[in-house]
Amino acid sequence: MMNKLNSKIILIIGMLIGLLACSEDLDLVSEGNSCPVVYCLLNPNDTVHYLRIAKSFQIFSNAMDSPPVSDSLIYDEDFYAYLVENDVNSGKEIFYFEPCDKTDRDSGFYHVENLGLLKVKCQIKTGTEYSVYIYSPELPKLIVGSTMVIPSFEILDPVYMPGREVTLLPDQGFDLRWIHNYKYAVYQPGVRIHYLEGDADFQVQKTVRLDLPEVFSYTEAATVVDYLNGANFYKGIIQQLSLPPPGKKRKLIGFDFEVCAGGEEMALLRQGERDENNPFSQIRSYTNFDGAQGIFSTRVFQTSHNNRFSDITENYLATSAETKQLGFLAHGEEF
Amino acid sequence: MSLFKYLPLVLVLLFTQCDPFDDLAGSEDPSIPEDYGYAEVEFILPDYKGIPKEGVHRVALSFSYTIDSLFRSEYFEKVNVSDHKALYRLVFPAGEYYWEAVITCSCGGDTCLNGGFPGGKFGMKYDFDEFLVVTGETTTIKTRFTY
Repeated sequence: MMNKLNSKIILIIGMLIGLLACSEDLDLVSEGNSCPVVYCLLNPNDTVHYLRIAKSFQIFSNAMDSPPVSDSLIYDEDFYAYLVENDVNSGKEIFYFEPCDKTDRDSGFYHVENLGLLKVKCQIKTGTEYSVYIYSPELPKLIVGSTMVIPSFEILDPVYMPGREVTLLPDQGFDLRWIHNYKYAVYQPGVRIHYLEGDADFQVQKTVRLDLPEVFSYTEAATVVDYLNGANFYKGIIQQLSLPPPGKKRKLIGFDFEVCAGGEEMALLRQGERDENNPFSQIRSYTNFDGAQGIFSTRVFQTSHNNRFSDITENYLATSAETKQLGFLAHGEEF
Repeated sequence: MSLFKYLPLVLVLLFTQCDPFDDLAGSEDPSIPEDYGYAEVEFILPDYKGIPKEGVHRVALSFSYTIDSLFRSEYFEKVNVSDHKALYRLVFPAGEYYWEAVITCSCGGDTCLNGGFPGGKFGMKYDFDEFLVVTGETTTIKTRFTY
């Protein structure tokens, strides 16, 4: 009986000591260590390839209101980086990156000064494995990444053929097709619409681009079928185009269909970022670098040019209640 | 004993209760409006002597209300054709219509001309006919390009 009482007292004292020992001073906004962030996308159709290196930073307020300053993104030390081509037939070849002062960028949120940007001049071979190695005294370790360069692909539809036209109406879309021979990839399709704007004396050719939703592919040697929704096509044109200047009209010329393919690593990264409820949600910060965040992958572009719209499409754009304010001429009408 | 006695009755009830396919007959797509039917076009690319298969392409598949509007190229419906799709299924109000299909040849040299395409490369061949759409039914159209 006495032993039981003693053990209870000891247990209570132990619990009290345990609770008092806890420190509630949690530092939720501690500075932490930054991590290298590297982006390198090889393009087999180009001869110059870029590597961007920065470091991660912490945000204490709404990031969109206060973009990070240059100093919080860049490393002070120089970088030494090289690309290794692992060709099974011709063996290994090394290409060294050099500093690049290129700062032109068509979009983006971050500053453009002091970008940690390097470039390498070489011809990338499709179906070949490439590795990138990055070293700097400031980095905790050597950064290494590998990727298999995806080959180009072929757009099957739309394809230019004399006399062939595309009809798009709110209830009539178009099946976009392309064929590839690699297993995992992500595609960013888009339509670039060309039109003339002006009056009877002078016209200027203009372009509007509509981005279509990303397409993910998980099968080898297959035709990828995507759908250009007619209703979304007109909605996109209405959103992108403002009213024409007074006295000016527009005339539809045609469209190019563009697809940018990203390799397996890009597919995994984008799939993870896209939807938290998908099976890839655990790889939101997917990276194929050892020692850094970011991505080392391939991107390939393909375009189908000179595709024509049918008279039905031109007339709908010119006369429908939703689009007639955009000032497009009907089929056969002149400026 | 009583179970076997009522077994024939149970079986009769089971087999006569419903026909799962009864309602489906004649109503291929419940979403189409009344008085509408289907037109199914088998847009077949013919085999031409001396022209490889990949050299012949579908160009257009269009529909008109009358034969004279067909000749004036005034179509009320144009299908987005593809070399990778042969079967096109459309929904129309019941009635009489005209279809027109166009193909071309993209081979170099005299291949297309020798194969019967007027003008040679990118010359067009036309096929057309009248067809009837019946409420709730499918009218099958097959292209021939015999002209």
